[in-house]
Amino acid sequence: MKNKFLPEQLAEFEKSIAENAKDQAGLLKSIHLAQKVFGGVPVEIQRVIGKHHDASISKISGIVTFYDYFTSDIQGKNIIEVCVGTTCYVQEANDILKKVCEITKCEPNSTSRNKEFSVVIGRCLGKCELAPNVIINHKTHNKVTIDKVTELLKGI
Amino acid sequence: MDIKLLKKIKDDTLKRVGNKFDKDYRTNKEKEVRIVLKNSYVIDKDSIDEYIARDGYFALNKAITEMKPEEVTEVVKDSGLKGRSGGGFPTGLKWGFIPKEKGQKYIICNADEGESAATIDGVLMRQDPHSVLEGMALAGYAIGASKGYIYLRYEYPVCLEVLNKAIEDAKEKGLLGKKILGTDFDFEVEVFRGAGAYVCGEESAIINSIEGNRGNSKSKPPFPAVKGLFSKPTLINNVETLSVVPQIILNGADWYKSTGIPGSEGSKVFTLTGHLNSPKTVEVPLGITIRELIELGGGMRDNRKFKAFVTGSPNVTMLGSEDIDLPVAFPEFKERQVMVGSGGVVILDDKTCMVDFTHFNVDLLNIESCGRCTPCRVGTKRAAQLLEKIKEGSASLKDLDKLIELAEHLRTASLCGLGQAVGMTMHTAMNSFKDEFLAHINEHECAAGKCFK
Ligand SMILES: Cc1cc2nc3c(=O)[nH]c(=O)nc-3n(C[C@H](O)[C@H](O)[C@H](O)COP(=O)(O)O)c2cc1C
Ligand code: SF4
Ligand code: FES
Repeated sequence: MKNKFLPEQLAEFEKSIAENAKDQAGLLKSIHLAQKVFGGVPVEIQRVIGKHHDASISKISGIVTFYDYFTSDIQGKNIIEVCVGTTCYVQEANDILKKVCEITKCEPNSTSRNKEFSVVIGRCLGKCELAPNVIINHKTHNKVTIDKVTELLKGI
Repeated sequence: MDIKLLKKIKDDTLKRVGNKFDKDYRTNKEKEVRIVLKNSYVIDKDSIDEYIARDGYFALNKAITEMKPEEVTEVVKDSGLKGRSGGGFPTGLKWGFIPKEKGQKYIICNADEGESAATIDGVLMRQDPHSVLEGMALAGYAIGASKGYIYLRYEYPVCLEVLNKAIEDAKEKGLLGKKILGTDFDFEVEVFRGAGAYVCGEESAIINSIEGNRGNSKSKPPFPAVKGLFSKPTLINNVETLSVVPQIILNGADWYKSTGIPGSEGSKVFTLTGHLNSPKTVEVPLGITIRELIELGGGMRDNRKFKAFVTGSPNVTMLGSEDIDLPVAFPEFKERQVMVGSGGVVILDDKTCMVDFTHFNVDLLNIESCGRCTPCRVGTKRAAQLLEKIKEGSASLKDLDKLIELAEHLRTASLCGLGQAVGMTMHTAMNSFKDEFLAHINEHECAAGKCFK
């Protein structure tokens, strides 16, 4: 599928990454920005970044696929991150993940077909004392149970 | 900014806040100490004045106005401070490895906190950001670096805000930036955000990441101390390690050594998680026993039996119930190939299947393997498959031997700590839970009821 971007949004983005391109530590910053602004770093955007940073598409695509928080697809409207780090795992986080996938009709680490949901597997969200944890649209929920997560997802 | 003004800010702030600093959040005042967490939960994280009122930046002033750089390193060496990221490498020794010649050098504060269950660095950066910045500046002065990066894990957006504000405030007061405290010492700090990759806590992978590459580990030598970030000498220390340096410089090596036990000087912050009644973050002297840690976490949940003490997830190492009185200390742990770890502790009860638990972590390491070297890329996959076979009931004793041998290969042949640690994982699993593995293989018995489904 071809992605469409607003011209103003693209122009503004290019301005920022032209700044980053002057910084020897700037490439990841530009990719971060793309993920934030566009909800993903598809190949069209990779090309724009490559132009400014003087880097090949294969290098940029290599980076995007390497890190968990960069996606080459545009993510869904709602992002649900289920922590399956060690502490959450020993408190049955896998069952919660299964439930979330079932409700959202979404595989782990992917986006549902209707682009409503993205389900992301987290590897420790830094709140292990309150495990298991789930982040729904940037809000963290602690001591989550299957019932609680079902309830939470009904609300969006 | 000079020492007079620093003192004035301290006095004025102390007057303003009244008895606010008397607050003591510890639940067990006998067992818990307050060194690393001296300011956490007490001061306003956004107030540089309150940090100064707690003697903040006095160590930096002392170092750059009264001490030679080598003297700073010397004090850190004498204090016995060891790296808090888990390996326990002597900090002063590491600082001493950086070449003395002038030129561009870097400090990297490792704030990747990839170890799941560990939330210490996050607490420190959120609660006491200036202690991290001051520690970095002191390290910068000691090795002659003028720029520091904080490599911050993606999952910590709040830390990003707090740190950036702290950096701005410190610059405004002349405590970071050019001509710090009116001397010729310059030091800038920048926060660099990671993007979610466990291996990016490894030193050479961080360097790759900041340089704008995939976060693969590199083969060593050359070591970062000689050829690190942008090919310049680079010192990499953990957040907790750096944040305690100001107090060591201010109060002296002997003061620091008075906590802990010989070989494991000082205190350590642990996040106690898992099957406990009240999982929490505590700071304790090194040398405390596992039993005492469990007690600090409120004891075992639902009165269940303690089964395993786990550190380092997902590079897990484990101890069983027979080791409950073992002191948590570097030499004692090393002898058993167990890591003290960066502070994430998972306490498991007898409902946990250790085969399943080991499989989960090895499988995770396989996912997180950067793929750079074959032993780890292929070996973690094969190890996970063998563990899976044991879980399914199709493994023989030969498979177990294969697994142990494979783990040993991983330990010796992998390029970085991620693959190497699988050897430690299997070694410690066999030390403490061999019977459970055998019961799975021979009797198809899983006491926890997790396997053979
Ligand atoms: C796979 C892997 C992951 C690591 N993750 C971290 C981490 O998240 N945080 C950290 O401080 N050190 C981590 N380390 C250790 C660092 O490589 C490095 O030794 C450490 O930052 C040095 O700091 P210290 O001497 O203050 O302990 C990791 C090592 C490996 C091999
Ligand atoms: S041991 Fe694993 S993580 Fe480390 S370099 Fe080799 S493949 Fe990469
Ligand atoms: S393991 Fe889930 S928050 Fe730490």
